Amino acid sequence: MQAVLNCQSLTKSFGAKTALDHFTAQFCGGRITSLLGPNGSGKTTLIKLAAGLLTPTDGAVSIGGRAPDAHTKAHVAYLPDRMSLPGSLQVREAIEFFSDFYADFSAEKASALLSELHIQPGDRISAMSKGTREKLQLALVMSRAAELYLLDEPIGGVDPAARDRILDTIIRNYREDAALVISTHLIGDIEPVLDDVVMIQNGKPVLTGSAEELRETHGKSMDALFREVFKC
Amino acid sequence: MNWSITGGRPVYLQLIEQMERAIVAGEYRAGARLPGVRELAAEAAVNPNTMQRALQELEARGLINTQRTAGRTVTGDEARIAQLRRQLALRQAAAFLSAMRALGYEKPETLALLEGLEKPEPPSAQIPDASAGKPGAGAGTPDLLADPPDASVKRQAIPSDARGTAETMPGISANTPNIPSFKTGRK
Repeated sequence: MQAVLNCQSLTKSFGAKTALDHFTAQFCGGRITSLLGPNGSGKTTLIKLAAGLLTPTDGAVSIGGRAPDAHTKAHVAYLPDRMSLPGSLQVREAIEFFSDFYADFSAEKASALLSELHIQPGDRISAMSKGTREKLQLALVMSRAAELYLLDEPIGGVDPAARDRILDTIIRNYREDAALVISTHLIGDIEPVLDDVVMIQNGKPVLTGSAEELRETHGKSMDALFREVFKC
Repeated sequence: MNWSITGGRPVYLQLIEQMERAIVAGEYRAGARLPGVRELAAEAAVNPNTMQRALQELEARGLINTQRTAGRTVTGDEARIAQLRRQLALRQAAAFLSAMRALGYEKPETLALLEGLEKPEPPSAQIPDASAGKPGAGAGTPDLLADPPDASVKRQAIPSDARGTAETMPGISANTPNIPSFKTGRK
């Protein structure tokens, strides 16, 4: 299987702190992988490296064989873990913004999706609740036909009903042959949606594999396994 | 269709089980069109690859057909569905008997219990509740669906002078050995 995202001994340090420590993993097209780990384990660092927002201290990250650059960014859909659009923007302006930036963005799809989520074109970002902002960003990102989706904590900080909706949106809308990387610490919700799991601790992968195989091997849910692996 | 996927077991097995039950229950009618993989996956909130795997297995079992243009349909073979119904029923019955055996009920006692459920005896035939002060015991009619037996109750022979001193179940002779006594009427 072709690896869309390839990390070879990827290392990132911020001064004395090593956020990612010789991290090696491959993420293949057509599969949904979750980066599971406690806060501060290196998930966001890894995602930002793949998104080209950080440069490695050592090792390499490549998308479709290329190091992150303007070309790869055209095929990588990144959902940050916080609102990254100006609060003054209305929804319709955010859609125009995405249309300008990304050739693989479908404004029709985004409009339809946002309508389903009860988000109106005239709504202003600054007036939205946290959950609504999350849904807006997600709808915009999922309306891109990318090769790699990097979703950083897409369901953190929202109520259970919103979480269901967000997962539903993800399942229904990602490009079929794309690789999806979802970082989260909310394993319970996301578990049935996963193909693969990469558990990360202190910047290193501690357990990787297919979710179904891990369930069969360990005889427990990913949630239970997580608690075991990351016992404080 | 109410999907109920838990984390502890392989997801594709759960999907297969639940779809089989849905077919037998007529929720997915014989010959009916099924939604697409992604739609089904979204409904069940699972990974489309996993749903695909489950659908392929159901096809291998002859419960689903795939036509290239028309998509997937439930089999129109009523006999096959009847066979599945029987298979699921047998499995359910075996699990039930197994659970009853763990309570100390062998097959004859289990059958008698089931008989009793259908035709409850009139109150006058009941043994009065031996323990004083139990609320709501009425004329001592045992509520067969009352609290489960005390986990500490051990299997014991009911003494031949049981009438008036011990609680017994209707329809079971006081001479039948090794029936655990049940607490009754606490509802």
